[in-house]
Amino acid sequence: MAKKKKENMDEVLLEKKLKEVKGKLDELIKKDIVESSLGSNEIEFEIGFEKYKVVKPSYKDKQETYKQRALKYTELLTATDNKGNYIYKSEDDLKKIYKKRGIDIDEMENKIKAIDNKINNYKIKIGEALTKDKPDKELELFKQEIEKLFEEKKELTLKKTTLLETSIESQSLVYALSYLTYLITYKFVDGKWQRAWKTFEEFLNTPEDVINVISFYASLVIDIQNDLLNL
Amino acid sequence: MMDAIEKIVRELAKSHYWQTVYSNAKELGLKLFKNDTDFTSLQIMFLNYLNFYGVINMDIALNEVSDKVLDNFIYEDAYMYYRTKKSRDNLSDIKSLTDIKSMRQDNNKQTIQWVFKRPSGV
Repeated sequence: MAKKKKENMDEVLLEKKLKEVKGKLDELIKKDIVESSLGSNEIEFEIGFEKYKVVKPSYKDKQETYKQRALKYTELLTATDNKGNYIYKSEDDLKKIYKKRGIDIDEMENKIKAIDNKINNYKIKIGEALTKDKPDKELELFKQEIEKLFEEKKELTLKKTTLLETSIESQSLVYALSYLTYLITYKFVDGKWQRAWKTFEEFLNTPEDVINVISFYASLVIDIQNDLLNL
Repeated sequence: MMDAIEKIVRELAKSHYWQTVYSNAKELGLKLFKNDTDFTSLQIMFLNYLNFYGVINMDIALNEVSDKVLDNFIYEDAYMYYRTKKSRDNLSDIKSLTDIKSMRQDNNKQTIQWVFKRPSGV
């Protein structure tokens, strides 16, 4: 009985150790990927035996994506059901609906701002403590307060994003991100680089695991703020 | 996902290797990347953090801040926030001093104009 219990414990320990090693290995692989992706504005990688690359979006790619995003936005905005009711809601509409159900998103945003202010106040305290060589205990205390506030902010931000993810704005942005990924991805075929997909439809029908890898690399070259929002 | 990547970028930018490369690149005009323009979001983030850690290392060398600042990301961010705020406050102090000075100068000018004003009918 005792032997079996020990064997089980050994297995648990081994599994824990393996998980730890796998976690560290994943971290190292990611670090290696990020470091090798820094050298250029074109990132080459392999999926299986196939070579791909993603490139920094050109002005033309961004303009094309902007057009597609506007089309998608209008499509979602005007889509109606059989009874003529609008199917999709804008962020403002959703906020009003949630408010009627007792969920105040504006209030959440205010809370997030208040948390940011508190974090900034602690940052000043840490900054002062570091320049005036205050005791470590004091620093640690402020750090713990910031960590707590970060957690609160993360929770609220996640909640807000989840509540608004079905909005027209959010859906059209996700669509635009997919479209831009489609435009900037190339595949090495017969000794030369060519667009990975002939049509966006073809991109959408690609296996999810392939899309996930490509999206990861695309996220390293796309600047959502500049490439998708500030056009 | 982006948080994990940002963490890796920070660690790389903070490393002795990349800080040395960055400081040499600045002094000797070496290229950090294959491309000189059209930087990716990852490259921009990396450049920002190279500069961020360059400033912290310089301040540590000048005894402006304790090297404890490099213990964790929270201390680093906090110090840089404090540093920026302090220099902004100093700038606005200088600006208000300059404003007061220029106001005084204006008043003086007016006085001088008044003193040397040509009397009417002369």
